[in-house]
Amino acid sequence: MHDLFTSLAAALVLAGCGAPPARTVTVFAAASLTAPFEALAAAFEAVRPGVDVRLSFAGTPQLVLQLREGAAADVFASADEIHMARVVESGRTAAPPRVFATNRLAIAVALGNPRGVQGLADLARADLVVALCGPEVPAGRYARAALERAGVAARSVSDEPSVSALISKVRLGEVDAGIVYVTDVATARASVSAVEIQSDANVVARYPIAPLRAGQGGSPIPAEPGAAEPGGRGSDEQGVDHGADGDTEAFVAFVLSAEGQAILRSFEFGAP
Amino acid sequence: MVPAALDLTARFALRRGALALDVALDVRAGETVALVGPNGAGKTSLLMALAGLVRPERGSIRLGAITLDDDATHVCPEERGLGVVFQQPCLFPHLTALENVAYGPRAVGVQRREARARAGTWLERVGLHSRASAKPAALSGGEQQRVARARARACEPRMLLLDEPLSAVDASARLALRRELRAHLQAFEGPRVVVAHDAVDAFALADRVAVLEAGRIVQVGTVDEICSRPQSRYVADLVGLNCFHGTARGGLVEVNGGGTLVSATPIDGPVLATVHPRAVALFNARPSGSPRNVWLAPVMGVEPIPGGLRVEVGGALHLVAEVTASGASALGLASDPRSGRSSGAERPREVWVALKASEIALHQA
Amino acid sequence: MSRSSRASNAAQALAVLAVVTSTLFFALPLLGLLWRAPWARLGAELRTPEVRMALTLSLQCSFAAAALSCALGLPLAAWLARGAGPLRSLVRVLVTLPMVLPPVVGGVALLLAYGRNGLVGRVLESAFGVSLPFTTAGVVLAATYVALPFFVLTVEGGLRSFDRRFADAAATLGASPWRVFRTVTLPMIAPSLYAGLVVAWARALGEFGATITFAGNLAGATRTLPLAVYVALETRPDAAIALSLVLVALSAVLLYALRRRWFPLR
Repeated sequence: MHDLFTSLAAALVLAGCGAPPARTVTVFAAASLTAPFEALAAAFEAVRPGVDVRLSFAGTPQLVLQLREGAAADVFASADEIHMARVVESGRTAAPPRVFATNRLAIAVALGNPRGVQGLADLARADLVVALCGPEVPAGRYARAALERAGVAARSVSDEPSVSALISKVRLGEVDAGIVYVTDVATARASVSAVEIQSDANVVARYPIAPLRAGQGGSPIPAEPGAAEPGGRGSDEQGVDHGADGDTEAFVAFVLSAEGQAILRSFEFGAP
Repeated sequence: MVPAALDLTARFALRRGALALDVALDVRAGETVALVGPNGAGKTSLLMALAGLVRPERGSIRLGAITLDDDATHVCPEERGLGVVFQQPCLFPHLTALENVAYGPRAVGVQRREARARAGTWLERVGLHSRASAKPAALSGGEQQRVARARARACEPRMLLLDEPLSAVDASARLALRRELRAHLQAFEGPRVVVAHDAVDAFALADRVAVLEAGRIVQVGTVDEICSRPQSRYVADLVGLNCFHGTARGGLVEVNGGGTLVSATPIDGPVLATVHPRAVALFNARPSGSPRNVWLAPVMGVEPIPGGLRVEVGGALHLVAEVTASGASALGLASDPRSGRSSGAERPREVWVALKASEIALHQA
Repeated sequence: MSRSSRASNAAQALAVLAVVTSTLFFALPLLGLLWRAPWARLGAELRTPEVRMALTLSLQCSFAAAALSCALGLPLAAWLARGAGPLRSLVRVLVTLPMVLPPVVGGVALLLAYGRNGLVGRVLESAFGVSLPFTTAGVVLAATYVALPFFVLTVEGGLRSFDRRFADAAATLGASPWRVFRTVTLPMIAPSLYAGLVVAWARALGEFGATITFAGNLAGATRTLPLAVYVALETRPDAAIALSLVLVALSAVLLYALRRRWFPLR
């Protein structure tokens, strides 16, 4: 009994403190990057042993909010440049952001397109239930821009909080058509079909990535992009207390490398 | 609408948990029967069955020619037209005294104004008209009991059922309330069944007493019959009290069947006089001093009880006294602890009996 | 140490613990909101049509959900309180489920049942042309789904502690079971009833996950205050805090107004 107890205790101690401190890179990435970034992280860990890549996916605005409140992250991969600009203005980026991928829009419809949606113009049809992402979400902003370019007045029955929420409503049949990214429909190929959006109306979404430095709670990330107060908090004196081995920079470089780009391409993301 | 006075005929059996109730009980219209018995004997279950809140498994309950329960019939409580007063008065706490009393008439469809008028009359009859707008929480135990009685009567019931109506009342109010309750019962034309908390309540309220033990009625009789011929240990203990029916005038009680008693209770008219056996003092010689009731009586029997003796004396007033062991030896009544019997040869044949007037309780009968 | 001074020490320790807990968990987060509140622009933030629409919608839907919870929950609670048995246990588990389920899952479940392609929803749409998702009725349905369990369990508790003898007394006075329930049982369990209504309302007011999943997010139709907070949080944090303050103030006012009902002083 006593032996069992001591060995249990020893095991607990080992589990708690025995492992060598892991080198980790924490990546905040837009929800639409989920599949390629999981592949990227696995590939990166393979070429750089001893590094653990931790991924956190959410809608881009939510990630910006978390960074603003001081969340510990080493890399930020945004679904648009506007949100990245807000992080840059807050002084949390450790290097200028670089665009690593592009994406385009498509119309997601039920499998086999039973309602016969041909293009953006059909989204104005009264017999279709159409939903978009909310205007605060990059995909929603792009979708509205595309509709405007095509001169289509579509009525969204719901401003969905994320592309994945919108896709699942299309999949469940609650919504007949929704505008999402090409890559999203590609990932969900088994359950939804895509209708192409002609290129004159389509929008190119650009995904920037940047390494981050440690943040403090309440860093004043401006509410509206471009409305940053001049002379925001200087960040030069804030030490970079991570990536001592250059892991953070190495991950960003890996995403931009030929190998990283090939992985992104395999998920149908476009070249920067 | 004056309900016809109908007799209760109940012969039924039911099981509730460990209790197996199997009873036959008849109560004539205008008669009060008290149910007494140890805890768990089934008194309340019997009453609940009469009220229709529990359905008998076998047998029948009838009021006159009306069948309330038999194998094919079960008239539910709301259609029986009985007046029930529960042990806890169970007044609806969100209603005033008046609204409580008006509840029954309203439930059977009497118009609000008429129901309230009727309730007011009943509250007046129980002397609580001034408390009509009080909520039950503001009423004393005795007042609640009176409201509960008024409430049971206001729906003009065919039978009155009361479950330990005096148990929620404090001792000081009890005497007066018992008298009032007796008058209240007597003013009701139908059968009255009262579960009694103790022998005094039973004897003071009832015309007949039914003793219930372990689900069966072991003895039914008038108060005198029960007192003089207890048919079980429980009944004997229960009626350990000496009771005499008689007529009181100016503190003097003419006991039915001979003898007089002097009491300090200022009641006139027909009474039930009770004396606790411990209040009966026995002497070898005529005692000097204050006792107002002193007489010489023959010793009829002696029985040991824990800590002393139970002595039965005869004569005009048959009663039982309890004396301590030392008192018993002073009287020469010491019992043999091994046989439990006194040696008859040495037992004195007569003793002086003394009763203080203040120890003789009178109850209006 | 004497018994009484030990007792008073214990009482003091309890008081300190209570104050510390309520500070850490309740007062500080509230203070955080107040601290970050854009007081100067608060008036302007709150006067926007979006806020007005969200506030109106939230009030309508939360009260509707509380009323619906009462109408549907009362018979359910009455039945549950009447006894035990496997069927009742099963139903109680079903009723309790929305309390432990993540609301988003509840929203998906509602879609699968009442959505356009749902079990019942497809019948509703084909037979009656009724579609619940993306409608205000859908918001009420989602809010009722999460609020109803709170009402049922609170009222069931009240009914179980109700002394049956009062009902028996009323029955012997000639009242039918329905009349007994209406005129004796209900008034006597009123404190539980109010408590149930208040928690159900509060839960409905704060409902987010099931609503956004089932009813969607459209200003004026389905975007309640919590949804508006969520949307604003990502673009206009100041507006989000302002909206949160509205939610807090609204809840505080109602809970304060109902405090006597909720915690009746005996």
